Amino acid sequence: MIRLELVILLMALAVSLLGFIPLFPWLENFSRVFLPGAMLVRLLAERMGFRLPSRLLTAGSLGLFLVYLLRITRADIAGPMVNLLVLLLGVRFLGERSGRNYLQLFLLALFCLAASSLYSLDPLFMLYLGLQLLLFPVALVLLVCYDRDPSITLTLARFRSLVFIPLAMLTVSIPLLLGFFVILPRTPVPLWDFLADPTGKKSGFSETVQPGSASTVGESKVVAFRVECDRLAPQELYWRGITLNRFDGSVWSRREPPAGERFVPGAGRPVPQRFFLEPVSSRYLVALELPGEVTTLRGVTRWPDFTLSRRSPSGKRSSYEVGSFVGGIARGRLGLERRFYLETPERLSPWLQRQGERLRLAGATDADRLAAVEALFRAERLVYSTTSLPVSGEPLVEFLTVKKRGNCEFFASSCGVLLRLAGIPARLVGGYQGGEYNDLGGYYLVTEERAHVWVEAYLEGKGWVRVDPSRWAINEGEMGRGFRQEWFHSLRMAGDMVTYFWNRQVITYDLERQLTLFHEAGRHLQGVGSFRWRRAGGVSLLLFLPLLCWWGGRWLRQRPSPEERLVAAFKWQLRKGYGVEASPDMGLQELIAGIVAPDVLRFVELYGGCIYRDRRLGPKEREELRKIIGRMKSG
Amino acid sequence: MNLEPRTQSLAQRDAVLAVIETLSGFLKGKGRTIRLCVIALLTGGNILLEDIPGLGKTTLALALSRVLGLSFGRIQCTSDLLPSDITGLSIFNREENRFTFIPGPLFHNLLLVDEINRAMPKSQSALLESMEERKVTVEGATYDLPSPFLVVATQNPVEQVGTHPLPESQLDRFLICTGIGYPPEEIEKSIIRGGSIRDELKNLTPVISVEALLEAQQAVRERVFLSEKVTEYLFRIVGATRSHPQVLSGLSTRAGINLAEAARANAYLEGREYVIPEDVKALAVPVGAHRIITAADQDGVRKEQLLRSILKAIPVPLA
Repeated sequence: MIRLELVILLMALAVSLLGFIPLFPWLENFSRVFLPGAMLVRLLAERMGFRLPSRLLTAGSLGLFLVYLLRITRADIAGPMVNLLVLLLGVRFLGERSGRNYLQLFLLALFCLAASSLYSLDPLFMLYLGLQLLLFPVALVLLVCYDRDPSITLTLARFRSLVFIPLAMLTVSIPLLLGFFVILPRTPVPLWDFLADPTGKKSGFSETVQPGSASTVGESKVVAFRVECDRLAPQELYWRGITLNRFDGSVWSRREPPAGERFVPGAGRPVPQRFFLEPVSSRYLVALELPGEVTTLRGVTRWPDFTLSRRSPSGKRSSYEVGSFVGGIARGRLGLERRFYLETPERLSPWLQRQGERLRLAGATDADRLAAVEALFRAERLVYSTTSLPVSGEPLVEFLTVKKRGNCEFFASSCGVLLRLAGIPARLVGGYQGGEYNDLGGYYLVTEERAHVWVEAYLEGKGWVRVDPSRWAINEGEMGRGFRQEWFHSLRMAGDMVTYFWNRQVITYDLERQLTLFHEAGRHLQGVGSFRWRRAGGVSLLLFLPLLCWWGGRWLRQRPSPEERLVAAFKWQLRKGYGVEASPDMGLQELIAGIVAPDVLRFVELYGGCIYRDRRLGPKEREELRKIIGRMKSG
Repeated sequence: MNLEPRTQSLAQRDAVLAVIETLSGFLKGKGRTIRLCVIALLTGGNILLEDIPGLGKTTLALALSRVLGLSFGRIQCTSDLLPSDITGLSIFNREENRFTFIPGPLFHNLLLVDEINRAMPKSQSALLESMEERKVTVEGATYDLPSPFLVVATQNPVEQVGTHPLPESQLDRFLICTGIGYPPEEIEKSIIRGGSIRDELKNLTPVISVEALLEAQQAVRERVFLSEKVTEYLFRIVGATRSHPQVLSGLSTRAGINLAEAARANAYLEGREYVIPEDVKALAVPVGAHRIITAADQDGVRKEQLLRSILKAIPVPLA
């Protein structure tokens, strides 16, 4: 025998935990402790059989409500509300044992889970929601029984049949759910993040480079973007973001490039990519060096220095396709704009100026002088590091002469300045370097910790050549590679793939795009690199084919015969036209008793004359019967 | 499509309908019973009218015999009724110096057996056997009963003292068992005002000949089609009575045959050359109910209600 109340209580606990866990990271400590505490007290009360006075609880709830109501400010509306939700849920656990109370409890738990979507759109949300949806209808049905008789106990068989109904209802509603998925609008970002600044707290890629502003640079595992493309060599993985062309002595920033500049990407291997960019506060887009035109995203400008920018930053996850020429060098001639890229601040440390002077004389060609810069860096035996960085008034000098350790910002900044002083036009490029390739999903995962800055030097006769001074560090091999265990890595990759497909198929779901994809499916299937998808499609088709056959066969067998369909239509018309409610134990003559319409009589006469003489309907008879039904419909 | 060709093959239907019409006009408010009697006549079965005295059972039987132009015999059953009182007996004829057989009331086309449950089981079984066999054997000689042959038996369900209720096996020999019931209020008033119509029976004239009646019987047997679908439906009804928890013994195969025959007769009266499930449904209770034996602890259950609930649960084949 099963005590229904115990089942409901356990379900209430499960549903509440499913609402509580996803919300946990955003709760205050008090709420974090209060709900589990309340659950424990409830369980204890259940065992020991005591109850808390309901008046006290009502007063407590009111008090909590007032306290949190007063804490709501314009800047933080969601915080107090969400905490209040959780606290009220806790109070419900302590409250009286009635169907009403349990119903409120279930609803509050559902709201808690819903509230978590204000903060995060994790794929786990779907899991929690799925579990809650599974439990919710069952709980509702049980509550109906509970409401009738709170002390009810059920046999296992009875309980099973009781649970079966809501589960069957749920199963039936799944196709409906999928239908709603297609048509209902959705938000591509967590709602609360959208109201606040979505990326304010992120570190990593920035639009300026200012070495010496902090002694430590935090590494963030936050995902910057994912790119669907072929696997590339590690040294090719330079994701270009922004070109910084102005140095004011401490900060590298970007100005619009000079008007006359004309450069084209030269001789590179074309690599198509499909980007899925996380919400960013920057209006610059990322692409593999050197980017060509961006497709499938409107309003993108490609500057002559190969920077891609939008009119304004988008708080949404965005997706775009771009083709790059990997290994290509920007070809073209630098004319008058040469001065623009040689500009150095007037106030510059004497040490740097001396070095610049020396380097300018180091060789006849740009390449020689570049080699001299590299030699200088290598001679200083610099160490790549993200901790205990130089923070003095002259961070670059301190970096090169005293501390001899720095991150990519120091390497690139000082290299850029020295190149300019040496008479080589130079600029900094901000972006990302490297990335983890996900073999399962066929994409690169690039996190914010991979943000990187490097230098581009204009060599006469060649064009803009990429120079990554960080590679001149003596510990170059260790750069940006933390220790990681292989199994953990593959697990993480698998987990990331779920997130990736979640973002791609659910969060950034776009009906129009799906339709376009569908439309061009044939073309896509023949495209390069789609072999994997074809194989996956083939396998799933093979898996589903028997199911499909079985279902089709069943449908064919169970499909109503023409006679059955005619009778069904006839009954329907009788019901509509004459209000006749048919039941299975009624024959046709019984159905039409009292009806004098000649058409109706004729139908029964003709139809019965066939069926009850063990004949099937002939085509003519069928036609006539259909016509009768048609007339009944219109009349 | 013209419907005439189909009904034309149902021989003598108009004459049979005329019988029903005449009787219905004469015996007011007894349409259903008259119709059941005619159905019994058409299938060659017998009918048991189970009701209290004074509701016109005898009048019905008399009127039927007049209208059908059949010979009429009557047995008033009492506890001292002997089988020979029914079948007849041989009497010594002194002039011819030999025994001659004097046929009893059994040798009529239409036999009214009044209060059959008052007769001794010995006489009852003699009667019922001859009903079934259509033959009588008296003192070594076998005599055929006339054709058509219809027994209208009556019994009073209320009076129980000094009666010998028919055993179930005997009940099974009646095609139809039905009550008559009180006539509707207005009709009963007019009947009371008009007085007994027994004398007017003399004015009734036959509307159908014996030959025509035999022809109609043949048409019912041979011209009305019973489809597999309806047979299946009928069988499911019979089967359901056998597996019903409140029933000790369900419908026999004879009951099934009788139900099919009665359904055929009903279709014939409706002018259809084929049986529809409604024919079976309409006759299932009068043909079936009295044959059901309810379980020992289910005495209070009305057999008619039970059979109706079974009918309600069986879907009618529509396609």
